[in-house]
Amino acid sequence: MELYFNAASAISPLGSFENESISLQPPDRALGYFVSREPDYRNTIDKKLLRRMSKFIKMAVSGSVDCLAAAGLEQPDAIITGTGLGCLTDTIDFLQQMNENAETLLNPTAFMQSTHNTASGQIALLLGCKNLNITFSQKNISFESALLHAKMMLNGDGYRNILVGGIDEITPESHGLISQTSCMRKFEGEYPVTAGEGAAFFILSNRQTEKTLARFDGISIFNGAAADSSFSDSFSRFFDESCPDADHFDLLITGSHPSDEVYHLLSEKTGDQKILRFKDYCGEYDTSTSFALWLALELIGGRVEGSPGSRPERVLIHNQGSGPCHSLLKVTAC
Amino acid sequence: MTGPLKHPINITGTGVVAPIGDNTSTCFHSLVQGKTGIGRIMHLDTVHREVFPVGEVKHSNASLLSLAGIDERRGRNLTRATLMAVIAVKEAIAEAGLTDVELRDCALVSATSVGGMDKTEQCYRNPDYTSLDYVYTHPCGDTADSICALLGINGYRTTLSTACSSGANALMHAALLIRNGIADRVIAGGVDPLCRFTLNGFNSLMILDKEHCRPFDSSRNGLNLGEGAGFLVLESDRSVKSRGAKVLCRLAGFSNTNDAYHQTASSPNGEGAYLAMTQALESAGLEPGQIGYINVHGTGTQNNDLSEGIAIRRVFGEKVPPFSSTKSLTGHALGAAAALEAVFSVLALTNDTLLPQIGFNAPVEETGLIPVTGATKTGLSHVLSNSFGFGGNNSTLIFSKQDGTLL
Amino acid sequence: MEELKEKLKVQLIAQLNLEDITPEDINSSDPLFGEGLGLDSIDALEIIVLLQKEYGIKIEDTKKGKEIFQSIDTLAAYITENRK
Repeated sequence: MELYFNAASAISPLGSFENESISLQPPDRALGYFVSREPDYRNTIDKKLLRRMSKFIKMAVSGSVDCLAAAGLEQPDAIITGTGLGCLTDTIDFLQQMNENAETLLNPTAFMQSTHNTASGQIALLLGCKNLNITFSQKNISFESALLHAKMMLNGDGYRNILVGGIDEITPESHGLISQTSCMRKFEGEYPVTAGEGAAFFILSNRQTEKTLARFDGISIFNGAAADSSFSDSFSRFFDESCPDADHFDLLITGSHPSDEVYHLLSEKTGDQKILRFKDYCGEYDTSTSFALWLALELIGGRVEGSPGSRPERVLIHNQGSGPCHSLLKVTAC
Repeated sequence: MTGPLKHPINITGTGVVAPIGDNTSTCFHSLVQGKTGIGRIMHLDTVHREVFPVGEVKHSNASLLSLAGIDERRGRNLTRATLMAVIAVKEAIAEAGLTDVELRDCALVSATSVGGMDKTEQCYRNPDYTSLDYVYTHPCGDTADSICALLGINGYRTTLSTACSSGANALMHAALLIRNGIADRVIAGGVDPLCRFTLNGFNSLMILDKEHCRPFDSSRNGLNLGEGAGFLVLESDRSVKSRGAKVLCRLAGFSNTNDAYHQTASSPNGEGAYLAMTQALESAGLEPGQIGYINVHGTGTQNNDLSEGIAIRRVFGEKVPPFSSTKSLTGHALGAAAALEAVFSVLALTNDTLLPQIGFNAPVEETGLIPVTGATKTGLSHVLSNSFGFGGNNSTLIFSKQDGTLL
Repeated sequence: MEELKEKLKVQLIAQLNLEDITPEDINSSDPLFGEGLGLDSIDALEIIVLLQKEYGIKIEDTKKGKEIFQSIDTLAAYITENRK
């Protein structure tokens, strides 16, 4: 069954929300990490609801509302999100309260909003949407798992439009901790990698409409840690199986780094077509593939200023993170 | 929304670690005897030790490590969640009879609400800990990656995190992987450790009972937290045939819906729960009257048991099947609860036994529902299990005997 | 009593993140829940924590909160009667 992305919306360090066209300029890294350029949420969320929401929830709810509006949908047939680390602000808040108050007199709001499915639950609550509502949390393939679930549901009967999104937030404290460990991949020199955050939402549908942004050609996930022969051989085999038509892509958008082994393998596989390193614009975070997908759809739609080369029609997205898994996504203009 | 499952999902193995036992046979014995695992806190370091009873797995982490058969050198940075999960997964694999080669290509779908939080809360801003090991084990996905690394599982792995319904949604994702031909064998379930984070969280919501919980009782006054891990081996027909595996029963139907009512509370008319049960029945191609036993969510809070009871009445009318809340024995294991109860449901079905609950005296006035209070041998063809969670998340699973009504 | 009411308004606004609301916007006899300020059951739990932290008053039964938290007036009266 052919699947289509019929709408997309992102809140990211690139300032992607509510802008007609976007410009590929590296975001400000004065803080040492990229933060989302947040819109005025009061345009999309009721003030009474906003008062308790962390950045994580605001980005998710706002992105969802905007995405549904772009698709002209009141309710999706399912809401599926992915997040690597969940609601960090509320989690850290509750941990701190526990420490400081010796487990007494704790405020329930932070706890209640610390669960990973808070965003998808809030979206359902706002829309009054009683349909399937699930959240995946598997490090750097959290969004990919959500997308895979949506794809499988759309293969069944009765589903048309599914809201799928990826969300992760960064806080000064989480950045401080993660950057001291190898959870944050570090590269020095010419291409530094900066931590980031964002939320990107999509309507995945089995119906092509006048709003369709691109066709979804598939997703594959590869477990790099399990490479039984050499990593490059295993990855090559995986790549060849997932992408037999690799030399027919106009653009490769990757989350790998020029000093990664995979970066060179990919450039060999896809020929000399352009490679775009999307983490230069959103930073490194678990659900950054959702940003890459959004960027691919924007590039296909010709809405990106200063993008290198001509408007691509077939885009391949690759990502890897701190976890063992790699993912490949394919989208094509239609 | 979907029609009956076109491809039956076979269950060929189960494994469990719970407050009432370290494996399925001990757990089944406790379930039938009504032997509770809820009591005074022994292992968790908290100021609430003398205040709240909990369902604790009766092992320290060191003891779990040896139970899991993990070399101490590899066990250095493993969380309680990973240790419990490995024990349950190993039992499920053994029952299914999967070889190392078959195991390598399995997918693993885990579920958790807090994952490595017990370690995070010990180490975070604690001057006595200089190591940042906990930053690696904090993500929910760490457990799935660790299980795979320890047991040599090389396939796709992922984790569902939808609060207290997580485990049910893991089975649902696993079933779709098989139905779509993405995997032939999936190990799916859930795990959650007791930790101060959730104990204090539920305390701040004022829904913890200082006595033993009393699900579906008119005097109920909150829940007791629990912990544990439950995993099942799910297989396609093709896989079962090719390796001649013995099928325990089938996952015949499932559904997830949202109550869309409140962040933590259930709606007064139990709408989300009602939809989850009716859609799961529809997906299994079953009528309500065909269900022989319900393992209810039944936490023991005022709100859940009333809302769930009303939803059950809406689905089953006057003919409510025998039901019980095994949380009266285990406590509420959050992200693992649905997985534990999936294993218990399979045990009830394969042993043709209604599982009793304890702590019941008088029914909730509004629903008049009376749970099973003594183990009863009876013919069972279909068992339904409910699991609901924060964020209005409602899931229902239906397990059927292999010769049950399947399309 | 009036002083306590004004203090409570400030504390509620801070504790419940009532953005864009000033103490002047809250009429002491207005209902806090449902209509009026539109607070909900989670806010009730937050107010229970506030009463214990700031006034040493412990409310064990959430149902009792409904009566006490009707308005700033009822809340202030309860605090005056029960504070230590």
